[in-house]
Amino acid sequence: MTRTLLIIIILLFHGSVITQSRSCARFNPDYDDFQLRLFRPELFSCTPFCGFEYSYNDFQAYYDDELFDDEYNETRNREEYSRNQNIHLWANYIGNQVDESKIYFAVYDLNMDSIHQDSYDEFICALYEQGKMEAIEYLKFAKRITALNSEDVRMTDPWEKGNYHSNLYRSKFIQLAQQNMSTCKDAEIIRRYAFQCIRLAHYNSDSESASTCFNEYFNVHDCKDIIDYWALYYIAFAQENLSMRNFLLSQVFSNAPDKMFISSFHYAHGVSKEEVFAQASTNIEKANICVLSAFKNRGKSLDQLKEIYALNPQSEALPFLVLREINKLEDWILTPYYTNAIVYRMDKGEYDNSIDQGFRIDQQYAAATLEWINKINLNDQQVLQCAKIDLNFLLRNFDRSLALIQSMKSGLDKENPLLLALQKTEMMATIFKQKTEESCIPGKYQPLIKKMYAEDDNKILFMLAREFEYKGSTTLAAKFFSKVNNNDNQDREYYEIEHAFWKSKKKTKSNQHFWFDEAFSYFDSQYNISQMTALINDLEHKTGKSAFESWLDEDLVQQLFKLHDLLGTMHIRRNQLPEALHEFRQVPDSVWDSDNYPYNYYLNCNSFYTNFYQEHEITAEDSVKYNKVELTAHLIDLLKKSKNSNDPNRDKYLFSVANCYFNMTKYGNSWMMRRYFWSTHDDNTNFEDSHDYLHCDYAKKYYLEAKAASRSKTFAALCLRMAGRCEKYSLIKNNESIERKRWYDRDFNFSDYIFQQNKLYKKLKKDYPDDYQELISNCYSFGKYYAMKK
Amino acid sequence: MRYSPLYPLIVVLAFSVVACRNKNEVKVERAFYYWKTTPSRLSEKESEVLYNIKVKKLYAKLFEVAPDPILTAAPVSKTNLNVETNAYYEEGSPILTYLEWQRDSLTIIPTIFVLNEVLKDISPNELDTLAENINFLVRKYYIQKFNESYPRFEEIQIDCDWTESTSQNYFELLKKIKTVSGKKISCTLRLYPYKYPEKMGIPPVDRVMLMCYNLLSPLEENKNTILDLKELESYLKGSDRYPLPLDIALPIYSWHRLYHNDQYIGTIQPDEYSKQFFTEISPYWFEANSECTIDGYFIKPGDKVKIESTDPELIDAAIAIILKEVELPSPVTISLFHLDESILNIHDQNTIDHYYTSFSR
Repeated sequence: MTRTLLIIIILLFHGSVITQSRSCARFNPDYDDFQLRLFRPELFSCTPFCGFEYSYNDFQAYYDDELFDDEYNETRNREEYSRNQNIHLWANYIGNQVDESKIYFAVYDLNMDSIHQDSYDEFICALYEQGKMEAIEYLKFAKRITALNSEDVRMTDPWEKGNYHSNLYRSKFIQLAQQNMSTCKDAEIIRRYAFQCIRLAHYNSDSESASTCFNEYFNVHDCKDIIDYWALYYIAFAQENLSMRNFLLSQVFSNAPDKMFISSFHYAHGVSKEEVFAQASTNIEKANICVLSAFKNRGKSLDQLKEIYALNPQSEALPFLVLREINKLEDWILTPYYTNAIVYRMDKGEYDNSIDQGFRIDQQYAAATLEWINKINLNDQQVLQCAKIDLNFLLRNFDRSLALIQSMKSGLDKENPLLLALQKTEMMATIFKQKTEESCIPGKYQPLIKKMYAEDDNKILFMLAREFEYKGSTTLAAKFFSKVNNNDNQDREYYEIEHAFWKSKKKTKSNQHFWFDEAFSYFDSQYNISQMTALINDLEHKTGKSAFESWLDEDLVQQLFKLHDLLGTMHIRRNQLPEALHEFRQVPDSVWDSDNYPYNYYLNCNSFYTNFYQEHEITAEDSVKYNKVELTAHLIDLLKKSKNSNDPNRDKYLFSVANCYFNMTKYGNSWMMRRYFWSTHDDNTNFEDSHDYLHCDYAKKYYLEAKAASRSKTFAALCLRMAGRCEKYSLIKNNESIERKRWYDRDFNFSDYIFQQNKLYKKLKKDYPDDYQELISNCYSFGKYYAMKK
Repeated sequence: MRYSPLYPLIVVLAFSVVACRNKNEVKVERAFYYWKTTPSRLSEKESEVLYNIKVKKLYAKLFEVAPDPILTAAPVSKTNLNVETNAYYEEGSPILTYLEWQRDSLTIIPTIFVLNEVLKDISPNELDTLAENINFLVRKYYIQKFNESYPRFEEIQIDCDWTESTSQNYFELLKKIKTVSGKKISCTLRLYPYKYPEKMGIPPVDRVMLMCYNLLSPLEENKNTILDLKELESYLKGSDRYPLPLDIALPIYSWHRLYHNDQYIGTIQPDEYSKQFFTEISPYWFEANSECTIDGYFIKPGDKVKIESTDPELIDAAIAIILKEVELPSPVTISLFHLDESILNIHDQNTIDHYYTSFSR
């Protein structure tokens, strides 16, 4: 039976054409979910800058740090990168006699109690053998204070129950370090003690001690290794001068990978570049300032990149910043072009082309970036070449892009992941440059496409679909849409797969969203009858298909009945009943009653019955039910009979026809004849039958025809009453703005207002004064009047 | 769900008190929420409005409780609000009058926002610790920040978007806070648990504050998601009388939500200078006409900002619905969310005074 639906029903077929059904939950993809990219940072040599990739999420790098440190390694890498520098210093310290991995274990993992003369640890043994007793004492010291030297410890007293305990301990250790420094002869160990003092003082909020120690043992402009930059990091927070603080943080950002995110986070706004530059003494230091500034800039950074290149062409950050700029341009150009080709203006409730202007501006920026890229040389040649390929692709200079790809591919190892990215770009460039009438998939790329499908490369598949759609090859586009987000890969969780999301290019939408992630809703929303017909014909009748073409078709072929159902539904929306019946008959009978599909639940009712009040509630008449074939056939039959003016039951036929049309509106029990989605409050779909769906035009027409045909006065009155009901829904839709008045005017009764506007009720009162009160006021009068006619 | 053996009796008594009141005799206690973290004191304008319309209670958020990997739960977003006992003002300065009045007449009610995630996997022992910690920090802050100037507090309010799955832990927490603090406990109540108490449970507190806002997902495209009257009415209409004394919270705030390619990016606060970069295109919606950077967001032409606010007409309508659908106890606290100088430019003091008096008609 049909049901009263309180909030929203979203109906999606469960099947291979549709990958995800999200039931009633509100799901909205983030903006990053829409982003399209060709050259991801992970394709290139990993640097500490990975994790600071272009994203609308300010805290992307932070999340990498805090949440995914074990498995998703950007931060772990950054931390390891810094730690390895420290280990390298220790290795040099003992003359490179111990493997660095062994030193790593001793420094970061070995328990303090295990540091003794009889230790089996190679590094500890080497220290004892070389008589480095000061280093051994230092290591013990460092391990003892580890717990006091972390962000966690700083947070151990958030409930403010008194961190005097921690502070006291830290002060004791600072004193101990200073004592050791005073007796220590080894300059390297003294420097390490000094660093520990600065760090302890920082966590004790003792800026003065930190500064004093720093000034004695370190020099802002003479940092050589990770110990210097770690000290620089902690002393940065002791600076009241914000330009100096920013200067220090920018140097730390470029040289201490584990402190990158936090340095960028604490970089103060509102300090001019000139003020920070004034603190620098070398071009490399100035370049580092520009690097951090560029990383914080989510807009156009070309000028900053040029400045970095001029100051320090060897900057380690520069290749990644170039890549980041390319990723921005991919987002600005590809994302709106493919996912949102003609922007739906949420504000206006319509589509327009304003995106075009931005598109042109971004292409101009891409051209300016390419002009600069063509003039420079980077340490990372792969980034440089890919930037040229990508920018030419974005500018749709496909021939140039292809030439560059050919030249680059030859120098790459077969296992290099970049090779696959280049192959994909080559495939897209080759297909995208095709003329409309030539749209096809060249044989050499067919295995690649199957590989992309197998590996859930949904965004590339989607771009291909969209490109074919733009070229007018909607059948080929449909086949690619059917592959998007549709690989039922059992080995991977949903969140592990990058899904494609896109928006509609026409005015219609088929569900409550303005975005899509599966084919069926998209066909429902965007394809017209001739496009759907062409698609079905191709799937059913085209012969001589290659193995690849058959693979491309297979998901749609398996779900062909759904396409017939959709095409039939499109005909129903146009009131093309014979055509609709033809399509519905292509759907196997078993589907209508199957529990695997929604028809059995939402079309389990008598579509030819309604009364004054029933919308979706169960009625006694629902002992009879109609599926889409039966309903359409019966409706055609009734319409045919109703044309016989001599038939004494003509009024009854017309009345049933009207009931059926009513039930196929939003308010009726068979709304699923026209929609795959229903909501109490969201009428914001815009199919071609929207007016009838919301205003009951056909139902009203046939109730009035039934009235005209009736020889019974009581039945005629009933028909008019039912037509008045249709009028009521129409008036409610037309007066939604007036409905608001009831919020402000306590005496305003919207129902009364609508009732007063209803001309058909007025006519009922005038023409049938004896029946009016009964039909309007008596809830049970429908049964009485209906029974009289029966 | 476990309640004290006396709980049914308490509920029945509370119910009776509510039931016996006549709507027209409702006595309104005027209140505001103070939700800002950064300012160390109320602005002169804020103090002036409190004074002029004789607000009796200020529900001041002292901190939020968020999940913590080490401590299970830790306070964040701690308030900086502090009464300036040593501040110098010229004699005759109006602010002296306001401060004197605040000291004598304004009750600050410590309010704590507990993130629902805290309650998901918390053990009974951890709940004990959390209740003690909350009580400790509330007392500490009150003594440090207000006690020299303000009356002793008698109530703690807990704000939490609890769910069915966390209700048991949440209710236990509320009981424990009451036990360790010895204070009256009130809590906020969203419309969903108000409408479905059988499903969501009834919190074991002395009073509840019904939050009549944020009814829709902020991503709702063409509606004012702060306050949608239709939604409000749908929740209130036909609901059974809530079995606890019920106070009312109403929104008077606004926000600017930034969209890029029609996707929500974040919330910004454009200043007067920034407004030149936007053109109004329809109700609620503004479009960027040139590139600019606001609050760290790089904004491109075509980006859109949805500005949602609550105007006096809307609040009046909400009040009308509440009065029609909810039987209020007397006295009832009506609290406005939230006290902020910029908001007071939209809802002036006469308008705010009118909101309160509307409930006592």
